[in-house]
Parts: sequence; structure tokens; C-alpha cells
Amino acid sequence: MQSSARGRFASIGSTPVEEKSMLEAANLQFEDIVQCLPKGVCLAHGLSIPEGLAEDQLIDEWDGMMAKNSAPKKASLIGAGAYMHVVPSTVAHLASLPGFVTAYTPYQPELSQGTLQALFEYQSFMVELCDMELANCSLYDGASAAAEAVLMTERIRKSGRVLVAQTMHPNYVATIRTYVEPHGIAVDEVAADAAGLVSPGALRDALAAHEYSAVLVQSPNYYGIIEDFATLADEIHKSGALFVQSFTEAVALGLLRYGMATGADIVVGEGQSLGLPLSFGGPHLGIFATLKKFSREFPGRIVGETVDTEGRTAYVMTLRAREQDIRREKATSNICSNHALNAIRAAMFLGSLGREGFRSLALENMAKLQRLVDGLESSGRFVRVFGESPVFNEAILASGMGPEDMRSRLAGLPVFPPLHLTDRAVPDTRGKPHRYLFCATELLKEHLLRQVVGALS
Amino acid sequence: MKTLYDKSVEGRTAFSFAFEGDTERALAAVPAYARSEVKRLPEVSELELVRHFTNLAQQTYCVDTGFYPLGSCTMKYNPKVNEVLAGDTRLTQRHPLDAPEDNQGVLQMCYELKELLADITGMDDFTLQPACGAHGELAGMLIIHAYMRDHDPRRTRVLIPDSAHGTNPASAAMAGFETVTVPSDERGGVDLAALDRLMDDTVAAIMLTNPNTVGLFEENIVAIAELVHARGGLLYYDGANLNALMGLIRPGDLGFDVLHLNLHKTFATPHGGGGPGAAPVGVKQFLASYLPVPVVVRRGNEYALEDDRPGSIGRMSAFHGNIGVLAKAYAYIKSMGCDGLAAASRAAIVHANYVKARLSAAYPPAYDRPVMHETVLSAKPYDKYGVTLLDIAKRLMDYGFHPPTIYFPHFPPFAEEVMMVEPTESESRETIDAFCDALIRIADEAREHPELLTSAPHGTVVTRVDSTRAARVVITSHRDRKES
Repeated sequence: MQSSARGRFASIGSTPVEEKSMLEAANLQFEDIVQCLPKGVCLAHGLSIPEGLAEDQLIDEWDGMMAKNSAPKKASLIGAGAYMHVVPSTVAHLASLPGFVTAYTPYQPELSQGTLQALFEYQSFMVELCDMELANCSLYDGASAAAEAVLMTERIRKSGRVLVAQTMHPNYVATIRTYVEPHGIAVDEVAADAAGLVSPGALRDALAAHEYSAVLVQSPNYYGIIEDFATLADEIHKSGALFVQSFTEAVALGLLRYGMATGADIVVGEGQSLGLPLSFGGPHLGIFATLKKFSREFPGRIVGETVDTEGRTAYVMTLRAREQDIRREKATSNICSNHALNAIRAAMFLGSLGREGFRSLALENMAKLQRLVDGLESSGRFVRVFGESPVFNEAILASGMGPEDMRSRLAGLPVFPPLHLTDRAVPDTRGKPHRYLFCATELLKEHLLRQVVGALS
Repeated sequence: MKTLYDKSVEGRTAFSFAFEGDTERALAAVPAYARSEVKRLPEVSELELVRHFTNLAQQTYCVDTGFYPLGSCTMKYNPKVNEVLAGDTRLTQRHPLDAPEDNQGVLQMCYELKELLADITGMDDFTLQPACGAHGELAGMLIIHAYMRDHDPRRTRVLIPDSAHGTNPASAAMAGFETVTVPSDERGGVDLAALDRLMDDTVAAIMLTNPNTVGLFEENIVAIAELVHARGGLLYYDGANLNALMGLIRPGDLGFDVLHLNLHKTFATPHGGGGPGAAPVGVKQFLASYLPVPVVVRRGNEYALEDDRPGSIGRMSAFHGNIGVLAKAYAYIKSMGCDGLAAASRAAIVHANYVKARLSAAYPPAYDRPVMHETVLSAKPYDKYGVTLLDIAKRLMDYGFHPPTIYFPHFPPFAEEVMMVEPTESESRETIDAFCDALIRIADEAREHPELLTSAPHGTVVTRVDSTRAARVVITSHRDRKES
């Protein structure tokens, strides 16, 4: 294939002629420089990937490839850790400003006040929403944040064993298992009760049987049910374990209580709902908040407020003595790059919605799920599993409808079909062997919701 | 600048959305045990919001505004077509748990990216899941840990050169290994005699960055690989500096068994002020079964996500990786092609050597021989004028440049006052010359007017920032601010 002009590349700053003159100025031949490479191993004929495409050719190829995805959707009936929400135009626009996009980690604070202040504001919002004392400026995603929380509690308590609610997102538990495997830390699961919540009795028994560094509970849990953190906190603390509260749906932070008031030592979660696109799973946003007494133990970077030599307010990365570039193998985590731009985007999102907007969004999500469940149940083809338990924007419904039937009924509508659950022990519902985790967000507008209910009735 | 909280006025909003639901009924359904008060968030108008963040963005130096020669960070230009493609709603609005048959386009992109990376690096298979360099290192070292558990569990230690990035020992420790530092020799490479002494049957692997952090290609790499392999160890390649090697030589051909690539360095995806990046991990075939799940595979003409891989180390994150970042790297590689990537590495090498030649009189280089893509220079001569490297770095800001990486690497004999300059291929000769002129002029200033340096920077939005105070009086949120 032929580039726009062979041998010229838009993203290379010097021409071959200039390179030649620079080499002359340095009194070098290119061959002299690369003679340190072992001859027998060097590529004789370069790489075998195709030659470069010009921009128009690239766009053509890309279009052909993306056309193989199904048609774009307006809403999603799948949640399960990634949620389709409104992204205000302001957020998309502001998050693409080059100052935020094309800067490096703010090692030089005098040139990076914008990034630093935006991250400080993000941290401030997380402290408020999670009701904790400090929040770092992001980890990769909710699952890796949960795994980092486990490693942190092990550094503090060193019991060699953590307890996770069976109602946590299975991919979060899997990620935790990956992180702890080489350290021989046991990961036990505490079962849910008949209502789909962590059972206080089972929790008490587990805590009596073993010493745990931490107990992790997610709310809303994988079944969409709102857990009762406060009731669990006493048992957990009495046992000496730390209490890690987690979430996969950050919109719930607008309505539900997390953090110190319910006994949390650490709050971790996924921030994708705060203005970030689904992007087939990433990049998302790992939220991590904890107490000041752990300020030497937590993973990740954090921005602090200080002053410059003139006494003006200024921001800088702080509490750095925990980090890998200083502590090397003794660091609290290996994390270096995080998801700063996504954290800034979340700050833009929360700044856009504000106090009332964010609360209203949370309520709208709950209301939409209630409408959807009502509609599906009234068709007689679906019945809610754990029907008495309070849910946020997701719920499990059982049906006789198989997943293929489900898909084909929804095929003409601009919605992602709900998640067919196959790997979870949830109660059997007579005559309705298929269980679906349904999600409804504010994007499931009333007319679309009616179409969905109609198609599935 | 005031924060959004400072600017907040009750009742303002920047948000417009047609809510439809019965919110009273919803609120009544929230159990009392979980219902929170209204959370404290600022309220600003749309224009206030836009001005706030636009002004913040303008207070941040970035590649789009100027030269950013951070060594080992590869701050190359981020082509805009990549942003456009990665922002395509046909990609951004795909749910990760939606059926693979409805996502063949995005899966094809992932699969093709794996193949392109395999060819560029000489590795056999890849995972695209790790979120950034350190996450890739962790995945790679977990793969080695699992392999050794199955084959030679005595091997619990990992060798790491003293020139390595801090993430290497931190990642090895996180993957359950004890770390052992290998000293560098007088030529800046791994000390072979020390390696020979340390490489025993307790060692699982050596982690190498090549070219290393002083910009030198590891001359003895073939001998190192033979020695490590002969004694039962594996070689891990930290791809932070791959930008020097494309089209010249491949880590896989040099004997590396596992590697990670920083797509946000070599493959031109933007750094975002500290991420998100992406770090695919490549392995040789004998380690492919250990790759984290899910793995993108092709079956006939169909692309799929394979979850059921019994030997896998497991999941590294909730879903399939930073797809939005992978898309930009894919677009970059397709745009550059074999010829463009080779030209990029070549230009990066030429630029670094040109910088070294222009600056070596004022700032003695750590090693007096050609470098690859970056060069390490010393500011030690200015000690005697009461000027530190930090002062020189801050003074560079007054000339409109971002400073190089400073005080790294910290191994002898260049443990002090070193800066690592990586100009990348993106810059023009005029920009590189202007940067060198500025550093030379600053050297004169250090002799004649050291106070210009020690009081720098002067032209930035804030003067020198007091980081000691930040660590002493810890204010990391608006809540702390109210309390202090």
C-alpha cells in the first residue's frame, strides 16, 4: 500500500536530510551508533507488518471493521459492573482538552497546576461521596482497587486470610485471587442468605472460625441488592478485621451511605458511571478511599494542597514515601501510571451534575428499575428473585424465556440484552429456570422501556 | 485558582436531563439503613464549569504546547486521528459483557493488535488486559511465578539491575518474589561477574530494560540470556524503552521470555496527566497457557474471548483491558507501518545523540559513547556555584520547556545530579536546538547569576511549590482544607 508520500511521516519531526546533518554535527554515523546491537540477532529486512496507511486509508479500514459490531444502542439492560449512563456534552468536550490529555504525571508541579488541582477536586468529591478521610487520585478499575485493598489490609493485619461476600462481583473476586495467589493469602467467601444479602449469622460463624485481615462487602451487590453495612460493621470490627466496602455502580453514591458512618476502613469501587464510556470494558476508574490513620499504607498517588514561595495556594503530589520510585520493593504498591484523566473526567461529571443533579440521577435510576420490574412482572413471564430485598438499578428476574429467545425478541430495539446468569447459586424459581440480571438506568427512557416490556411480554 | 467548591452557589447547575421517574416512590424504597443525606458537591453553571476546567487545562504544560523531554517516558506526539477513531461511538458504546458475536469489529481490532505487537517484538502470544506498565509487570511476573511454581518452586528470587525503574522491584515483590539488586559495570551495563555470582537455582528471572535507563543498549545481552537460561532462569523485558529498537532488533529474538509494552510510550497513546495507559504482555509459546483471562482468540473467521484456560494466572481486572487506549495504539501502528516504526526509532536515536553532542560540554554525559533513544547528563559541575539540578530544571521552565527526568537513575557513579533527556522522534531540529540553547545558557547563568536559577521558576502560574509543607500539613481534600 502507498502512503500519502513514501518516506514521510506526519508524526516524525525531522526529515532524513536533517537527520543526516544532525549526525554530522554529532560526528557520528548511524551505523556506529547501532553497532552495539548483536549482529546475528538484528532484523535483516525490518519488520514484516504492512507499510503504513495514510489517514484516509486508515479511516476506511477502521470503518469496515467497526461496521462488524451490532448497531449502536441507546440504553443497556446489562450492568454487572459497567453501566451505560448519560455523559453531558461538557464532560466529553472538557476531557479532551490537550492540557489534560497530552501531559505526563505531574512530577513538576509548577507546570502542572491544572492537572494537580483537578485531581485534588476529584479527591475532594470522593471524600464526600464515600464519607472517608482521604482518597487517592485513582487506581485502574474497581476490581484491581479491591485487590489493592486486600493487600493493604494484609500489610496492616497480617492474618493471611480475607473474607469476601459471595455477593461480590465474580470478576472482582477473581482479580483479588490473582493478586493474593503468590502471597498464600486465603480468600474465603461468606454466603448470602435467602434474601440475597450477606447473612449476619454466616458472617459471625466465619469470623469465629478464622482470624481475618479484612471483610469485603459490595453494595449494591452483584444481585443489585442494597447491603446493610452498619449491621455488619460491629461484628467485623469486634473480630479485629478491617471493613472494606465496595461498589461497582458509582451512581449509587448519590443516594446510599458508605464510609465512616457505617464503619468502613476502606471504600473501593468502580467510577466508570461518572462520565466514562463503556469502551468494551476500559479504561475505567478505580476509586480508593480510606482513613488518615492509614496514610502510610494506602496504594497510589495523592495530591496535596500547599503554597508556593509567594504564599499562594498550590498543589503537589504528596505522601510520596510509600511509592515505588522511592521505596522500590518496599513500596505499598507497584502502581505508577494510574487513571488520572478518568478521575479528572469524573470530577467534571460531578461538577456538572452538582449536588442536586447527582442525587436526582441516583433516584431516577432506582425509579427506572422499579418501572422495568413492574412491567416485566406484570407480564407474568418474569418474577423477581429475592423479591423482598431492596435494589438500586439492577435486579435478578427469573423467566422461562431462554437467552436466544431473549436476544431475538430484543434484536430490533436499541438496547443491550440483560445478562444471562449461569454461574451463580440463586434460588430456583418454579418453571422459570433462566435467571437474568437486569439493569435500568436513566437512559432507558419511558418509550423505550415500554418497547422492551412489550417485546418480552 | 479557586476550586469548584469556592465557586459554588446553591441552586446553580450545569446539567440538563429530562427525568421521568417517580422519585418519591424510589426514595421511599431506599432502606433506612442505607439512605444517605444529600452529598456535598458544588453547584455551578455550565459556563463556570467550562471556564474552570478550560483554565485548569491551560495551566498544564503538555505535548501539544511544548517540548517534554522526560527520559524513559517517551513523550512523543499523540496523533489526532487516533483520538478520533478511539472516540468512535461504535467502540466507546460497547458493553464488555455483550455477546462476542455482536462485537466482532472491536474483537478483530484487539486480535490484529496482538498480531502486530507479536511481529514487532518477536513474541508468540499476548494479553491485552493490563492497564499500564506496572500492571503489565505484575501480570508478567505472576506468569513467571506460576510457571516456576509448576516447574521449579525453589526459584523465589528475581534479579534486578540497579539502573531499573522502581516499578520493577515493586512489581516483583507484589508477585511474591524476593528481589536482588545486580550492580552495573563501569560501561553502564549489567555487571556480568556479579550476574554470574548471583544467578543460582533460587533465581526465577532477571528483569531488564533494554536500552536501559541510561539510554545504553545492553551490550552483553546475548551472553546474559545464555547464562540465565542455562541456569534455569527466565528473562523479563521491561518495554519502557522499546522506542529505540523498532525495526532494528526484537526482544523476542534476544531471548526474552516475557515482556510488557507501554502503549502510552512507544505507541503514541497520550499519557492523560498520569494515565490511563495500556500494557499488553507478550510471552513465548511455552508460557501462553499462563496468560490472564480472558484472551482474545480467533476461531476460523470468528473472534472470541476465551475464559476457560486452566493454567491461567486468572484475571488482572474486571474486564478485557483498556480497549479505548488499545484502539489508539492500533491506529498508530497501522499508520506508521513497518517503515514508519523503523523511521521513528531511527529518528529517536539520532535526536538523542544530537542532544548529547550539543550538551556534553556543559553537562558531562554519564558515559562517553553513543546512546540509543535517551541520554543521561550531569549537572554536577554547577554544584560549586550553589546550584542544584532542581534549580536548573526549574529555570528551564522560564525558557518554555518541560524539564527532563531528574535525579534518576540513582546508581553509582552517577548517583547525583543527573538528568535523563529523551527528545523522541516527534520533535523538529529547531525545537531540539532551542532546548539545547536554553540549557547551555542556563549553564552560563549558573556561573554568573546563580540566583536566577535558585529562585526559578519566575514565569509559571505558581513559583516554586513547597512540597515539604504539603507532607507536613496534609491537605488532600476540600474537607481537610476547611479543617486546617
